Amino acid sequence: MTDLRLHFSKTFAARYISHLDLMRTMTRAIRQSGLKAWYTEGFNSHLYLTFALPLSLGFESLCETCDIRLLEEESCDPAEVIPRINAGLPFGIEVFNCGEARFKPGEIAYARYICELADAEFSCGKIQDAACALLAKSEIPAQKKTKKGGMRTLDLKPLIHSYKVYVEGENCYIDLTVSAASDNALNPNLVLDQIFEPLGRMPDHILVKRTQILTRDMKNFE
Amino acid sequence: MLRAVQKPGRYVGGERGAVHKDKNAVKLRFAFCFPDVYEVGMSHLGMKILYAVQNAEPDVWCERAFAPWFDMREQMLQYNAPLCALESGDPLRAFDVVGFTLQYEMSYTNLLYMLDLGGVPLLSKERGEEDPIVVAGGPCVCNPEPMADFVDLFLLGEGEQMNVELCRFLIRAKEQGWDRAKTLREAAGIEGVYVPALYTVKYNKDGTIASVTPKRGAPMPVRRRIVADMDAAPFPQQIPVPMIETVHDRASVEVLRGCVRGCRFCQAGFIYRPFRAKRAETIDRQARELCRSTGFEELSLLSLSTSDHPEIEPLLDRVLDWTESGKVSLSLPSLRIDSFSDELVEKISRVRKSGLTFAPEAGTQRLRDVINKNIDEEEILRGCRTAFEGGYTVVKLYFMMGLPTETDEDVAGIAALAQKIVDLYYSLPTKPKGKSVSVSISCACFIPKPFTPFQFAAQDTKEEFDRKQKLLRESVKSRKISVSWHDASTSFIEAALARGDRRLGKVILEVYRSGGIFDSWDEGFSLNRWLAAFRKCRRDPAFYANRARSFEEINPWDMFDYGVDKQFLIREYRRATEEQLTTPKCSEHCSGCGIVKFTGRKCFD
Repeated sequence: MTDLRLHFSKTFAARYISHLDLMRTMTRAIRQSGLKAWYTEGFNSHLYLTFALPLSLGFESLCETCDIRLLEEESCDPAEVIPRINAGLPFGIEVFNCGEARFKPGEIAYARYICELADAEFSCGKIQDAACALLAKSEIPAQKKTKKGGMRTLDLKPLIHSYKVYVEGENCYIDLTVSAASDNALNPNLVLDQIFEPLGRMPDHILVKRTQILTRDMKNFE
Repeated sequence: MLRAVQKPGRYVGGERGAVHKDKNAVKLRFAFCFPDVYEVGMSHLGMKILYAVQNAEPDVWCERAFAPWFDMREQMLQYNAPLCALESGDPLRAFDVVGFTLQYEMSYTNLLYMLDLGGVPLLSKERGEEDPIVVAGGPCVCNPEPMADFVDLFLLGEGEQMNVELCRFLIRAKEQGWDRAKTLREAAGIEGVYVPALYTVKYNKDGTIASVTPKRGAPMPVRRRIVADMDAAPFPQQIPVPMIETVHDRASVEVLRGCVRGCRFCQAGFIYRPFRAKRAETIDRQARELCRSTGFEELSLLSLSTSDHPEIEPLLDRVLDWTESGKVSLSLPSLRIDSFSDELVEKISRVRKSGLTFAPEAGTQRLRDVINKNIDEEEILRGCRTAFEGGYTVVKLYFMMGLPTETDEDVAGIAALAQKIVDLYYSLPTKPKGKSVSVSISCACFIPKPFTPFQFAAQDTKEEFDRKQKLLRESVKSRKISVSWHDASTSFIEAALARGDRRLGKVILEVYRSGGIFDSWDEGFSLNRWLAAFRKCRRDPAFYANRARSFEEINPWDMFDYGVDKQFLIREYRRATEEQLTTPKCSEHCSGCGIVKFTGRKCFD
């Protein structure tokens, strides 16, 4: 058996496909490709799939991964595997590369997100100022839902590795690199909520795009 | 908008297998609407067939639209966004044809809801030259009269050929530059097409129909369409594969159409006649292609009664041959309990052992004979024994309450039958070790439907249903038996709509205007809203639901020829009240329903 890491993007309308639905969609795409992949051997046998870092509903991504296991006889040649799987994927989800898994999902430390923001009322400058004001603070306390349904206060600052705020065209962009370690991941929505709290509401247009998943040494997760 | 709603995947489209064309390069644009949420509509096989059939025409583009759930509706109203088809994202009002499938009466208000959100005038008479033609098909249009105010033309019967003929006709009408009135008038010449505006209905003082008169040479009766050869009928090799989980999230292949049985309450058993089975070879090929192209993990072999397929065992052998190795699990809904043999259990158990569902429909032999179910208690118990010996421990039983001639004894008989099945389980030395049995009773309220022998019968009142449901609950003594039932108030409204006439259009419009949508959902249905609308329009739902009809009365659907004679239905109704069975299977003995005369050929060689 060969472990194969598929690298794919999830953009446009496909950003509204939830993680669970993505698993179903990927399973069907691999099944229709005819590639002989490994199934788990439990009571409810299913196609083996592992996604390294689930993506929030509504986010786009250029750097998703999905690991599958191909049976011995299958070719792992990207030129053959990629078109066969893509033939079964919906508009907006596209495998662009595949290969050996260099890192384990546990080695993921950071993720980089670009948040595109615009509003009919708030100018780009205003959004930029709000973002810079918040991100420059030494502490960013935020309320976060706990798994038990309660709320706890969390300081976002140590989870933000680096950031850049800039205006381009009609939009304001926040380029955020944040912790994505499994025990300490930061959802950029939490940061956006804090930025817009002083403005009283969220802007009309928010598009968050994940552009990189990184290891502790800032290497691309491959 | 999509950030603020549950399951945004319902509204984005983009599925693999969805058909995209250049809208400027096609001659006719058809919006196929399912008046319910995406997950329900995308589970419907008929829509997928017709979507493929119409898109096979190079100059026709058929797209899909579904009813947005309450949360999305709020967003759309706030942003003033119209309801759009998933493929092009264009609003319904931009289409040449807006077509609905009416699968259940309680979806009627959603047809208005979708038209309204899509920017199409609700009333047929208010539509102008620029508005789409609104059409509707599906089982409910065997009595389309309650929807006559809203739908320009109805398509009666099977759509595989008729829908294409309609599309070709409408392209011609456009090219000829016909106006709307002429187009509709001429469309009535297509077999299966019913244009309600071309008929005048007059009423008697007692509220019943006095006469129906066609205008301008419109046909009377209007004949329903059927597909003669199921093996040659088009079946999609590729369908849009949903990304979110749908209600029936699997590949479905129809194995046969019609039914050989003749259960007297069952509308589907009459309006889909004659019985036509696909060859095992055809089914196997279609199922294999569909599973391959979609990647579905589950395959369902659909029909009204799959075990009545003449080649059921060779068919299962063929299909299991590749489903097992391809990790596809097979499901067989609609199995008759008397067909549940050791061989069949062995075959379906190879895939996955889930629960089993059977439909005895009535609790006593007397009442099962009244409905011509042709199953006796011994067969039910034998079927259950086979299931238990095959390792099943969960059995679900479907019953109906309020069937004609039903007594309290029949109601108590439901509980007694379930108890016998529990006792049977514990008496079996071979029962699965250490496992408890579970028998669940699901009880629906009987609704008299057009084109069935029971179309003449009165429905029980809500009070009577409530009393009988209480009686059933009290009759169940074992904790191994659970009981669930349908809400009698929904069934009451459904009964009124099922046998309603065109005067109910005002009621449906009033319900919609007062906020009624998604009436097939608990979240949407309100009995009080319906009752208020009936009062306001001076109509009585009991007139339609709870009144027994004489054989001489002109029913709103008597002007449609579905192939089954009214005389046959009368004969069957009489036999029912005499507790007489008619036929176990029409393949063994023809009951003379009239379909042979209709099709001009024998049903069986």
